[in-house]
Amino acid sequence: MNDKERRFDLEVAHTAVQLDTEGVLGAFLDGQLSADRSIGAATWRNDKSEFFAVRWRFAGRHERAIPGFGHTVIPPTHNEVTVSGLTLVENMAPGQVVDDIDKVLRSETIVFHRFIDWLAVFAQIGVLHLGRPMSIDDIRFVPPDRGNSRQLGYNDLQQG
Amino acid sequence: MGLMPYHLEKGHFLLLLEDTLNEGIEVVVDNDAAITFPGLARRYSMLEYMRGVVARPCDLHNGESEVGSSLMWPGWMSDSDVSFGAFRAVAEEWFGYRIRADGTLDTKPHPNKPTGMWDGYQGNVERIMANVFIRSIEVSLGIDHDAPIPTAAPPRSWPLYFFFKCQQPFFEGWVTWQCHSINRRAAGQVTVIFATPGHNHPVSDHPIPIDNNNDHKDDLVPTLRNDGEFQVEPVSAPAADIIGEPHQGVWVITHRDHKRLNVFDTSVPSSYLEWGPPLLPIIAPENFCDVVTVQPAARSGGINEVKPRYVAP
Repeated sequence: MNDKERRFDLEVAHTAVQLDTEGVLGAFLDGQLSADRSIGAATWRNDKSEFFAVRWRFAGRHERAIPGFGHTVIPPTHNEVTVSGLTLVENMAPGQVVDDIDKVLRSETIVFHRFIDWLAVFAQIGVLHLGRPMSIDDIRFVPPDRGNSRQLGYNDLQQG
Repeated sequence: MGLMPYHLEKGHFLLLLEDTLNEGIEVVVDNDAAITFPGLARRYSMLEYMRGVVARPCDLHNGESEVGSSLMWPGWMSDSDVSFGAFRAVAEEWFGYRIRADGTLDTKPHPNKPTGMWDGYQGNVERIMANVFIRSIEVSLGIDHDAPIPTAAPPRSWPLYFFFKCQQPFFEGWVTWQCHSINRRAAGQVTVIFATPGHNHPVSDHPIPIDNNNDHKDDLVPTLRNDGEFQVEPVSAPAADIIGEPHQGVWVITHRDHKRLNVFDTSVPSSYLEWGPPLLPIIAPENFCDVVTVQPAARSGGINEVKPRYVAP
């Protein structure tokens, strides 16, 4: 190994999550991923693996069919959709060198644990009726009172 | 008003509403030369009143006017089951209004809450229902929308029937009609179905109550009952009730029980790109071959054993 060789670290994990997320969500959403880099700096380990946490948000427009959500294909709704999640990237070969990230990701040493707010995705696409069809124009999203620790979510950002 | 429906709901209130608007129509059915019947006068009265209801201004922020509500139609029937309790239920739970201490209505919609008891839904239920009454009565009498109310005989006099079905995405009124013969004044029928959102009670997975303590109530869903008119695999559909009055019925044909599938953990780890949107859970029968026909009890959406009659306010 020389100085130019790179080991699997948080930055590589961010790239991995970007590729993994855009590769799947990008198949039906036109948009882009943004990652929250304020967390995940610490590395968790157990006796065989190390873990990197990447909190992300993918904002896009539903422009292509979704081959999921049950047994029918959902055609494009052209709705704005924001998907948020957290991915734990598990590296089962700590210290491994990353010279070809695609090769590493497709090896059996990397596993993704994805925690995604699918309920919000269902609602935004309209697969589930979670919204409020209405003609009243002053409906705003008011977060429930769960203390002062709650940070802004996409609903707050969309509706000000 | 009774409890929330289980299946296609009829129940006491809608039976009384039908009698309000249909009372005496058998005379016209039997004799095409007959014109008037008690229900006809009430149709005229309700139609005129409801046209006034929808003609009132409706403000985007303040909602419907506080006066002249459809609840104030003086012809609303009243009996021991349909009294102020029903008025309160319709005003508060259906329309989403508040009744002040002096009895007046606060009709302003709350911008951040569901309307009444309808989960996850906001809408102008009063205006929808008033329009349904207008349209259904106009259709039943064969008069065009907003045409003058006849001073003599209406072109026709079809019976009106009302149902409602809960757990729908929106509040809607479906006005349907069928003419059985163009040669007779009452040879037809108007069937109205109110599609309503759900409220915070579960809908049972099974049409036959599970009643282990024999209190006639389902052990999980108390709105599902096995008393009164309840029957499993009913045989006869009698034309008359037990005292000989013309009658109607509701049967529900479905699987005996249902279950939910595909509820799975979306966080199970997987390899690169090997994931996607999860399957939505589906409802499936417990037994694919087991289909039952059930006649629901009146208190869980069926038809009273004896037809309730209009009681003047």
